[in-house]
Amino acid sequence: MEELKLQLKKQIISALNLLDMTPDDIDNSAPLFNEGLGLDSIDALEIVMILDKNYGIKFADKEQSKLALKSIDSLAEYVSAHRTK
Amino acid sequence: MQIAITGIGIVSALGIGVADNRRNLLSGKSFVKAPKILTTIHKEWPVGEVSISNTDVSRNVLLGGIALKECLADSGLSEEQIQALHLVNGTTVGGMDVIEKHYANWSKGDFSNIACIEQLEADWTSKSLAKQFSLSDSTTISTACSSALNAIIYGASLICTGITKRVVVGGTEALTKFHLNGFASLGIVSEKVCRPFAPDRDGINLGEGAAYLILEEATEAATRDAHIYGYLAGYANSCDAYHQTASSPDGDGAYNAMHNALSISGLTINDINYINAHGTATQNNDECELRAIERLFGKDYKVALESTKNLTGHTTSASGSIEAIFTLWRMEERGYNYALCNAFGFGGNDSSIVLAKQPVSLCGTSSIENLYVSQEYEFDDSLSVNDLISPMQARRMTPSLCKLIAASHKALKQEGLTKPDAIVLCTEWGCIVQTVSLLEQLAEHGEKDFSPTQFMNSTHNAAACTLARVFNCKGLNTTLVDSNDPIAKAEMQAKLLIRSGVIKNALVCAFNETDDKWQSLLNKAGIKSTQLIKSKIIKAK
Repeated sequence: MEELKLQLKKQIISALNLLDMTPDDIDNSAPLFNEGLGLDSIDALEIVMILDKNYGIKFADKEQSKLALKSIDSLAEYVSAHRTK
Repeated sequence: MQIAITGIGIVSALGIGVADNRRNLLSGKSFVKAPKILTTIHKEWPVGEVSISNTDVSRNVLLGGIALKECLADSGLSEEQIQALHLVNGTTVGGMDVIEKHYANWSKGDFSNIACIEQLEADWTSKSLAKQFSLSDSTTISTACSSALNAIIYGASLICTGITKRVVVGGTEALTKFHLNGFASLGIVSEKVCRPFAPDRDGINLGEGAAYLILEEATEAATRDAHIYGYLAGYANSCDAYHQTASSPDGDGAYNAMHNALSISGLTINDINYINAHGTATQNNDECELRAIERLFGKDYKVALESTKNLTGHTTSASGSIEAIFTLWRMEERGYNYALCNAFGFGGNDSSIVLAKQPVSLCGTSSIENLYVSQEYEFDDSLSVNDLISPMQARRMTPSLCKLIAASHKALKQEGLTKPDAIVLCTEWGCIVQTVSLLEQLAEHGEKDFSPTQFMNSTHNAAACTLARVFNCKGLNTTLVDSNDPIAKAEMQAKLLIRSGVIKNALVCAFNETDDKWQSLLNKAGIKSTQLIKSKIIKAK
């Protein structure tokens, strides 16, 4: 699970072009959006795209993706349970 | 000064020409359905297509040409008068339909059609149209979905400053796979016919079309006994300066645009009978637009409110002029005296115009002749953007856009302005780095995995709206496209706006990015493109 979290962080940093940021700068339990890391709705769309591309994950609706994208912890949990590749 | 509307021409999903469009608007039937002409794999996204097959010219020019021809004929102007006309044309996709057809071949090294690469420049569309009808000149406005209304604003300022007695204004936009996939990447394309303002609305349908209007100084129109459809009574643009795609929660840009358009007209909220809303049917737009309307008109407003996008689809850069004509027809049909027509674009580029049945004096003859024009400020290595923008902001900007921010900051500082009244930018290829990246994606992987970040940053006005956010400038914001002399074109627009009393000062920029892949393709066609980062300040003395 820790390895998956690191992998996800690296993918997010690269896809969102988070300049000067390392995986260590992202707290696993901190919110990814708004007051946490400060990502916005466009970033959410980018992350959903990475998850589809790299893990074959398709969300049924926005509510489901909202819950999964809360933090790195919730994201890793969702990915390990639902990944198809 | 009073401005009459003395000619119209239109194509949309509702039909080809005034008669079909008018009849189908009044019938209220939606013409949004599965794509037939656009060669997309995404049949699940219904669109408002114009039922005209493709020819060998860019579809944008094809649609624009039909509407423009009708408008010129309808105006009753003589051949000589037509040839003196200046075309102010709104478009964002330019010849993208042609480019996306050939790009995959170019990527594979087949350059047999490389000469048409010039068509991607939005200005090429306008120049082709002007040439087709032997018009005297053309100007291209490219502010995404508010382009055609901003073209109307530009045209009005040409008349208000006495530069011309009449001008032809409007916009054209053909459907492309590029922007259909782009809008879909933002998660805002509906799989059903869109439902503006409905609580269960779930996004837009894209549409296509073109519409043009003749704006004419009213005494001139009366002298030649022209048919008058109505009068342009007010106009304004305001940048939300909030987010690249989302509207601000309070609808600041939309509120300012409607409020300032009313101010110019001298009318009050009680005079307005009807609003043709932007009403795209996304949750965000409709909520923010309604909030802005409530702020301006009060919670219990009695104004008829309508979005016609469920009939035509969202015709993006052409929507402003198409819906201005729809508004004129609604006014005639229902006996309204005054109406507002809104069009909002990416980057929170929000425009609104006031249309009237009777003449309204909208601007005095301006006496501002003396203008101060500063030197040009360019980027140099002594400038840093790190103090101006956070890494979180910078991550979505290309290095050249960061340099433009630095050069503009220097210009503002040296010229003693903290917040300009307006930002006017002119570009040649727009934000080409992001555009090329998406074209590569389309060529290599087909219509999937479009990056929403790249799409929103690929629109021409992404740069000017980024400047607005950085400098918190909610004033007028506009982007032009010109290949000859971008800084002169931007300067011209700023001077027109100052002389017609709309603004007192402006940050004026010329911006051109370079991209290695793009440059290598341009080289094959013998076209030169250079990086351009220039900022200057123009103000009334």
